[in-house]
Amino acid sequence: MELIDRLRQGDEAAFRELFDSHHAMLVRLAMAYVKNASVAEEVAQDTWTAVIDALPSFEGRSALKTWIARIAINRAKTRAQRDGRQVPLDDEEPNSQDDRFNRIGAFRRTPVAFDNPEALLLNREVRVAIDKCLEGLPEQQRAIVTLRDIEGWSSEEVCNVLELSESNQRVLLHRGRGRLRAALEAVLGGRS
Amino acid sequence: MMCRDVVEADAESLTGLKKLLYRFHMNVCPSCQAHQKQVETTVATLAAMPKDEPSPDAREKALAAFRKNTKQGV
Repeated sequence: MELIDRLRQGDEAAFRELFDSHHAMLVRLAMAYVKNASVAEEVAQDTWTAVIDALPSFEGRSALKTWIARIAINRAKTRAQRDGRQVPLDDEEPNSQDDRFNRIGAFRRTPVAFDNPEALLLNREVRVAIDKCLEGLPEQQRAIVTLRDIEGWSSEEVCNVLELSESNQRVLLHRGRGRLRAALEAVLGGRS
Repeated sequence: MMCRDVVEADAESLTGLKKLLYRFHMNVCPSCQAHQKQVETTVATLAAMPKDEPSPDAREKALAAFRKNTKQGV
């Protein structure tokens, strides 16, 4: 039996499965819009309440997870508006890091090689830099990086949930990844 | 096409001559290859970040709402 049918029949194990699969993602996604982790947790909780209420009307036109994520985004945006959170505009140009290039636009020196991801994540400074960089990203960039790179969603899923064109999503992802790369380079400098 | 253009380009959207120039530059430029590797490692690092487990309290609150709704007839 499909998960959605089990949920509609009040199957608690099915709900637990759904919750365990998506709750952390909802909190991370909400963080793109609200000011801190505890508010994001509240948004995720509100999202579950809304999901439970709306289950009978879920028509299956989108995947369950994208439907849930869209509810979370709407709730997070409403909450951010209520809290008066100010975030940078998404069309803001990325830091072009001019000092890496010479006058004609060639690299002054070859970028350093980073360690492998597992080794990088053992470095507290790296984890702090990632968190801080994510915090500073404009909301759509952060939502896209969160869903594509942290949660492993496909480009199509992200475009659906954020109602973005493929090209717009790609540009914002490129910028977000660029900022995170720069944040890691700033921490690792020449010693990685 | 110089390193700065290559680094700032959205490679997937390039077509025609720009795409050829991009590919040629990437093939011959160790600095742009190193930059690309940094981006790939950054993405892999994000994917490898430990995922938080939901707190039992959060799960219990949501389950309670589910039970309540079920009793009322979902």
